[in-house]
Amino acid sequence: MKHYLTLLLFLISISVIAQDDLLDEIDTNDLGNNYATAAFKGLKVVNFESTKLVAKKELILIIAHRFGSIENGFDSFFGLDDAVTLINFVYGISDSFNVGVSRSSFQKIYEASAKYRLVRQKESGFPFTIVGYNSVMINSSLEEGNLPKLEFSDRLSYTFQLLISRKVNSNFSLEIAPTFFHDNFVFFDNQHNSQYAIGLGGRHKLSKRWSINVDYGWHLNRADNSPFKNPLSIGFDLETGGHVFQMHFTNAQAMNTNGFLGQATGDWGDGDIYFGFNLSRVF
Amino acid sequence: MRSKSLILILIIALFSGCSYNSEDDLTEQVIIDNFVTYETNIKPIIDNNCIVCHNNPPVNGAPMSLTTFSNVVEAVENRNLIGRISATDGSVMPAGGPRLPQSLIDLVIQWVEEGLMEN
Repeated sequence: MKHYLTLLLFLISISVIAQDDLLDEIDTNDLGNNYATAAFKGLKVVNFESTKLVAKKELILIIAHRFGSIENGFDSFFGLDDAVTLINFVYGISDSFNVGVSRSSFQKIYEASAKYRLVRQKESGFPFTIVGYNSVMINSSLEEGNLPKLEFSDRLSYTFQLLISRKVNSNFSLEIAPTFFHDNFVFFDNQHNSQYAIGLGGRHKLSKRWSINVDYGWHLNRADNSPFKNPLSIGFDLETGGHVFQMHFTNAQAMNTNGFLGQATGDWGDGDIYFGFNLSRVF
Repeated sequence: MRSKSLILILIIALFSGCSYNSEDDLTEQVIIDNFVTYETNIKPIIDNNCIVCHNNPPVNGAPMSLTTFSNVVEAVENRNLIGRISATDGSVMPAGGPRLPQSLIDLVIQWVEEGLMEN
């Protein structure tokens, strides 16, 4: 049963790609465009991918940090000592198709990703922007010394995600992100490897340069007694020329989709949260 | 172009396939004949996981070395070694995670409870 389900999701993502080509052909002849612009200014809402893409032939470097838990106070300088880092390059093959590679020091994860726009929101037209996001992750931190039966395939994880956003008005945007993700190896024995989640995100402009962003990941099949929690993040975006600087608090330390959805350990109720920021720079 | 690279990614994904493993599936039962000792049971765990940073001299900001028996005993007694490897938040050791398999953490705890025997 579970294999069929996975296969079905593969097929869906393949058929979605086929649609992408068709829609693109239509778009090339479209002169009068009244697309809603910039529902989100950053490539991420906070943890979740946003519906923004990198422009054609542009290369963006994103450096993201998540500190350790702030609850240990000065002992770890509010998490500075336990910080993890992500370095991510995203390149725009076209305005509607991006590829990216990243490496995170959270469990030494390498990632390759593809992000592609399927439909764009238009004034007095289609009401949503829909973007697909797929990625493959390799966890290079698993040790054969600790896990004697480890094979290469156990290091792999996959994400299949649809990002659906709507710019409600010039100040306010919303996003919903149905997500399927699969970890070939899970740390918690009772957790099923194939997991489902719905991401919810929003952005509200505060001034010309500032906005407040929130996102939440609602995990739909987390195991009972799992030590992992749903990720909630609240942050501020600051736009400065070629940079977007995102500062936030979150209860997930991992920055890859499977990480923050499947392995968030912090708890807002206990003050066990992490400070983090994403910094992106266009080349 | 776009479909090619996407198809490539999907091929890689399909080729590697999905598997359904968790910690239980990849670890073996640790059989202890007598008592847990540093030389037989603990040193291999430390060497596999800690020495990368807790070397002598320590690197990557690690505050102390864990290369000898007395180093490790000192860390258990004064530096909350058990607490750090059992932590479930970002302060867990090894830094950046993942946490050690529970079977190995339990082994270290057993070693401490049995009185930190060297060999």
